[in-house]
Amino acid sequence: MTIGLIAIVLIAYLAMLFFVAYRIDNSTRLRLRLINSPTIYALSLAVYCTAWTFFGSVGAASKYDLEFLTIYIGPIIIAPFLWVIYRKFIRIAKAQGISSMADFIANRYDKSITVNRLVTVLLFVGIVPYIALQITGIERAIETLLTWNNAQSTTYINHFDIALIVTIGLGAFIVMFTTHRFQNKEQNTGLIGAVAVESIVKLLVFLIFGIYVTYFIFNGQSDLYSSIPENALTINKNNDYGQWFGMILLSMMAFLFLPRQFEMGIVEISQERQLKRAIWVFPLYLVLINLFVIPIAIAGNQLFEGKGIDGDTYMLAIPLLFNNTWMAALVLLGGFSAASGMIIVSTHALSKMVSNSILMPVFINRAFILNRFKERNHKIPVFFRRISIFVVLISAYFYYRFVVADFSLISIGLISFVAVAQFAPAIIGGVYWKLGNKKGAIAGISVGFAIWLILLIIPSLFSSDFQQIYQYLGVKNSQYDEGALITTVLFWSLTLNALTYILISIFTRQSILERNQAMIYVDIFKYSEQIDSTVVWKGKAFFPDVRSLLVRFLGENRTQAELSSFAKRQEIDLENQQELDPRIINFSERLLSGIVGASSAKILVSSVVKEEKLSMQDVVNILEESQKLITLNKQLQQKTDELKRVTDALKIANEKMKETDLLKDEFLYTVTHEMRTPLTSIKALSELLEDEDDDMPEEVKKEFLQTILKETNRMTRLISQVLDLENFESGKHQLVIERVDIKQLIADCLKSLDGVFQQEQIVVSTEIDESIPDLEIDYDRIVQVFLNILSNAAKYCEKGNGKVSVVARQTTSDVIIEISDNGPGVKEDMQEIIFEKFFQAKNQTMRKPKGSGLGLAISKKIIQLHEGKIGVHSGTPKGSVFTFSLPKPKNFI
Amino acid sequence: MEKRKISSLYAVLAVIGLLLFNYPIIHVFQKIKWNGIPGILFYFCLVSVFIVIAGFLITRFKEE
Repeated sequence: MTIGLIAIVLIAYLAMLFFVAYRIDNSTRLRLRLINSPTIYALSLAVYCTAWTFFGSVGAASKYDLEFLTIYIGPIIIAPFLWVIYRKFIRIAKAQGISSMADFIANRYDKSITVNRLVTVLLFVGIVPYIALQITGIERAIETLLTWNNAQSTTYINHFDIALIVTIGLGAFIVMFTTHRFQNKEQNTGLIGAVAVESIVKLLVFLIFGIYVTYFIFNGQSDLYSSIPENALTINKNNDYGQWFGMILLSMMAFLFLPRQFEMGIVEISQERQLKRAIWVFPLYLVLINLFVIPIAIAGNQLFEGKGIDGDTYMLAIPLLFNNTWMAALVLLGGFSAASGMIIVSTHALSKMVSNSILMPVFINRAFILNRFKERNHKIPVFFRRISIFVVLISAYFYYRFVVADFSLISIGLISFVAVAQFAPAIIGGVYWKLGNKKGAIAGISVGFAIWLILLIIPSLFSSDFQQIYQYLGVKNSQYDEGALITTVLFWSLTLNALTYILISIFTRQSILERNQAMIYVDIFKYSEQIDSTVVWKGKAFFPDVRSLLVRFLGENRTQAELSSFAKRQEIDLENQQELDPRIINFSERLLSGIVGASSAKILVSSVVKEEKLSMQDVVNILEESQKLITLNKQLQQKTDELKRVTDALKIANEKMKETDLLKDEFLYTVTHEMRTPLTSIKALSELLEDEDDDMPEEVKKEFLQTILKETNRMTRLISQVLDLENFESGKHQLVIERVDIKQLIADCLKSLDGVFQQEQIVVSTEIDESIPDLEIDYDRIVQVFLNILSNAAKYCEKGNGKVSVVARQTTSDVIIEISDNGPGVKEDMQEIIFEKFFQAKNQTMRKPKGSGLGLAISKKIIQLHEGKIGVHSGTPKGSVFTFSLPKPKNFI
Repeated sequence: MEKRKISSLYAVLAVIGLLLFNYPIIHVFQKIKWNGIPGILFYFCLVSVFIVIAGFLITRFKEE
């Protein structure tokens, strides 16, 4: 491949990244969509996959050693846990205006500048080799492409320092897209968008290349796997499960505490809910990007057997072997994408810490800086940030030039992972343990890093051969590999780090500010809303001083907007501030912290306020105040919830009342309508009888009088039923309980309706259990129930072929009566409501035979008063079956 | 579902993941082959997909 094509591919890719970032930065619509997109957030977390993933994984897999998979298994396992742990980190970071990992740790521990600087320096030492690794990845890729079958190309390599050119190009990108948003609180959307694009590119390229190798060069996965010697695939060199577990733990911690993950996962997130998609999209991404690693490695081993080609370069060597220049260019693009994404985000995160924690606190109040940036103080952070980017990238470049060249990609990455794991005790302890303090954190981190430095970094300066490193450490003829050394160092450094942190925290005291911060960090979900009310500060300050400080860095407009909005939220009168409210000082420090970092913000605020030492009583007063406020808020919330519940209940009751009212109206209408029909008939017939002449035959008169009597009876029955129902409902009616032979009662009822059944040609059958004992019931009322159901059955039975059956059986506790007919039956949706007293009123459209429609409602009431149950279901093959139960006397149960 | 219960489910899923990816379970799969593919790779893929799907399903629960 020619240098021209390589240059075109890389320049075109960088130009595309610039274009994407520029378009996003300059389009409000795109910016808003990206900031709030959970998918973009999930993809931005994939910055975890670097050149190490792209080239190094294949190199490691070529040794048939699966240990490289632990680097991805760790994050896959921890991904669901992000909702618990990252959510807390995010809440703390947003509440405290934190913009970097160093600020996050330092703010917890007394807002200490020392802690801030220590974390920054150690992260610098730990991460610069990792950035150097990415430069190595790019440089090795280009070198492979240029020198493949073309020894003359080494001339180019000698003349052009490719790594330096790439470093400068990426540096320009970082400067352009990460140092221009100091004046507002928005995320670096251009950066987020570019990283998301890079994540898509590297995944797509890996999948395309994997399919090309597996299915176009070889005949699928089975073909490739069949070539591996039996039992060749091991989890690590010595098949050591302890080492495997250690590597998983290491990658979990690295994923949580790598500065680039912290930057994309915590600082650049806009809403906590974005985490939810990352919980499953990110592990899915890791699965996909690893799908073809082993097939590619096996393919490389087969194709280059005995040719001395390094496994790290298989990704490029395979397409070059088949003269597939375009595929090689595509792989270069993917690898460059993976490496550049990491370089951009890590440099951005690290340079922010170097600038905010080391450079600015030293120089920000120096006369020569203030003079240089007269009236343009907001340019100071930009200036220092750009210097820091240069410092980070140049350091990485020199590390690459003089140290890293001989190491495998995996080794350097793992060394960096162990470094970032050293922050785990201080961060986890800081967020979940109130007693953890500054002295403990400093001592713990220092011990951990000292072990890391002595056992991993110093030996690596002398040799890249791990066997030789073992010899430096006094282990001769070691059978162990680098993974064993890494996990051993991780175990000892982390254990001693955590022990030191815990013991020193227990035996030393926290400062007052530290206690306050510990309380906020550990109970952030309780305090995040009241963060401005829990300010532990005492001293003298004047509003114009603090305001002009803010104007220097934020500008007039934003200062005014931020202060007004804060004063409104906190109900502070900005016009009458004799002695400045501590809440404003705290808020101002937080605002500045987002721009110049926590340490510089602390120095800047201290220069315009006079802080006094707090006594324990002051702290108690402040905490009592905030506790009161929290309690009041909670009570208010409880009252509001209670009020809402009562209002909801009232609403439901009101709706029910309205409905009942409507039903009563309808019922009254039905009853009066039912009464009006016989009344009209009685009135008409009575008038005819009154006006009659003697010529009316006696038979007609008799018939008229019989009709009047019949209609009067009908009215009486209706009125009795309404009164009965009312008596049952109001509890006025008392049952007259006596011992009754239910078998005899059934026989009596059937006898009284015998005439009706004969008239309607209905065949009645019975099936009575003769062993049913006497029941304690109200005889008349149960007869009423029987007559009501039986007369209904007679009314609805099939004309001319009617059948009614009465069954009486018993269970342990009840006697069950079933009365069935072969009528049209009751529809399933009506089976519940036919027992309602307003049923007829509600169902004016349905066909009704004679009757008031109150019979079933009364029957239900009677059975309920006897502590029984009544219901209806469809018969077989048709008709309906009315069932009711009556409890047996207690001595029979 | 209650917020705390959902958080607990996430934590339980992570612990299950940790167990499934470690000894002795992986030891069993090291000896197996599936359609010519080493069983351990197939198993890793399966467990990862399980975590993805379970994670997705938990995110569907509405917080109370």
